[in-house]
Amino acid sequence: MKKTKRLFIILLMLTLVLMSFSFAFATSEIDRYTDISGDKLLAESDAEALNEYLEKLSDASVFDITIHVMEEGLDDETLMYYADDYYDVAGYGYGERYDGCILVVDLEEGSWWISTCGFGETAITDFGIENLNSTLYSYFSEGDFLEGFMAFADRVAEFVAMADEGTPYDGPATGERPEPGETPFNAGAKAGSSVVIGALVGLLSSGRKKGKLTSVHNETRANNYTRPGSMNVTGGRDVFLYRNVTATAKPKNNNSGGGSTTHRSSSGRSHGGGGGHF
Amino acid sequence: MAELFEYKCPNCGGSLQFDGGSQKLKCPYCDSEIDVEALSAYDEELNKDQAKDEMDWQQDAGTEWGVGETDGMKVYVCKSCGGEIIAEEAAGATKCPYCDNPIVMKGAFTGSLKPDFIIPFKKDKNQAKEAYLRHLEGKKLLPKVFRDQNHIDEIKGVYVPFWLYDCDVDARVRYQATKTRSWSDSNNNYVETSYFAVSREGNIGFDNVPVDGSVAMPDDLMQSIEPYDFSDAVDFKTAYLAGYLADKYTVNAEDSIAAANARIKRSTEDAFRDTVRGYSSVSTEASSIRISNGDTKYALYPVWILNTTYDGQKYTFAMNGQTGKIVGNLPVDKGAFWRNFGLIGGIAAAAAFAVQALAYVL
Repeated sequence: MKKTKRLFIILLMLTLVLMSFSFAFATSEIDRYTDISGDKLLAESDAEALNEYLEKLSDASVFDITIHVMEEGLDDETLMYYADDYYDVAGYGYGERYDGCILVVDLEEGSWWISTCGFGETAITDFGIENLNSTLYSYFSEGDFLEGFMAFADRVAEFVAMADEGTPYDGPATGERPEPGETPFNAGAKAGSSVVIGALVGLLSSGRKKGKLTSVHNETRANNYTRPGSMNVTGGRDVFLYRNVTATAKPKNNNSGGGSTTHRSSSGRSHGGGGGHF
Repeated sequence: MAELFEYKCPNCGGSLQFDGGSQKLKCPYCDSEIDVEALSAYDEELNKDQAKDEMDWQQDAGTEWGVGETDGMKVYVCKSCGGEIIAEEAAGATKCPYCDNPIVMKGAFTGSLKPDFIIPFKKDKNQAKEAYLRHLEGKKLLPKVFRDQNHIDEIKGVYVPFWLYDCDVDARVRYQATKTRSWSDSNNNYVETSYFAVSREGNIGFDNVPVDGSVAMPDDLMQSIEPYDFSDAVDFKTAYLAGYLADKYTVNAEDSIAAANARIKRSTEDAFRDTVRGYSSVSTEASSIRISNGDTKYALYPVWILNTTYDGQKYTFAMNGQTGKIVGNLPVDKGAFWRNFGLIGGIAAAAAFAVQALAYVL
């Protein structure tokens, strides 16, 4: 009896261990990069490398970062539901709230949609979506999809890290400034404003120098001819009349970064997100 | 028949109504509240404004010339500008000090008033020339040619006729004054403005307020070289005129009075305004002045004059012959103006651009 009990316990433990392995396998078997278009967007080696990269980032962040490429030619609203549904059905997401996000690219329509779920709604705010959108646009419009996907993944991981610390990227509310690469140094506008400043300063300088050339003015007073000591105030009255109070509202710190806009997908789960065209 | 009394609101002019609840006068248009006593005091002040200015002057300046006093003095007239100059025959005056044209001897000097006083020249011709050259220094936008091209030796010493006014002034001036206080709470910034009707009464004296009695001498030029210090003035003697030109008065005392009155009134308002203290803003609303013991004098004041023509325009410089103060508008070198604009503007624009670029990068 002791032997069988021992065996049974060992078997049980083995099964458990195997089960946990298979569980781990299960997650690593999920493809985070899927492409169902006719002509694959990326080369096989690139697709594999991307998949591994996404897996690494997702595990590190405890947050699923997934990408799906198709060519259905959907309009924006349908694309949104497609993304939500694909995410839900594919079983993406960590934990009870299915924390993660998906980037769906519609090659036919030339558009994409980012859908967020669970903790994704907190980590990727509307501002975050805008940020991701401009990043994706800058890559997709050049046709650099692989780089775009990598940048997307990196950025999402950053957002999740920030949210984990308690300060999700939420535009001006976090005091975050966009990185130099995103908003280009608008040399034209800066040059224009510099010219205006220069013109004003130039005019002031010349005007002042010109003023030195004039010395003839009318004299409207006779202050120099007051008999010294002759001024004598014999009376006066200070009468209070009325008062009024003006109130000006203080500028409120307009927290325009207000979290994320969310909606419900067909599965009933709440999703956030946004999209763009290239 | 019963009369309806109307009191105007000092803020918006609407009709005030007595409010039984607060026992004050309230304006239904702007919601201002005024104490009954304050309003009646204000009303009294307004009524006092009705008093008009009284400006009476004694007009007995100048005397008649004595016998023999005008010997050797001739009157010259300028055909071009009509200026009349008095000079000794021996002075050999040939050019008009106002417009540089030749003058012609008209005749013996008779018939006009003899001045009461004269301030003799304290600054001589060399000092006048030096002052002129200093006046041209440091003026970056002055055309270089102007500096070189001047006939500085033609600077002339002229005695300019002035009417001088002494008086005592009784004044009553009314001001509007405000006091402000500001504070804020979590939602708003508040500014409370309190309005006051302030009046001041008193008297003040003026001595020797000068008004230029020569039409040919521009008034603003003469005003710019003020002030003159009357303590240097002496009783007039023709001997002082030797070597200098003198101008005959062409504006008489009555006509100059308006200018004197205006300056006196303005100075009175200013002097009393200085006694209104403790407010954040004070502005004059009305004033009435009464002039008494007004006395007029006729005096000659010393002025060095130089006329120059440049680019078709006449430029006149005047130096106070007593104090040495020199004035005169100078021409602008347009090219230099725009070159300076370009240079300074260019440097500023480059600096602004560099600062912005630096701020972006860091």
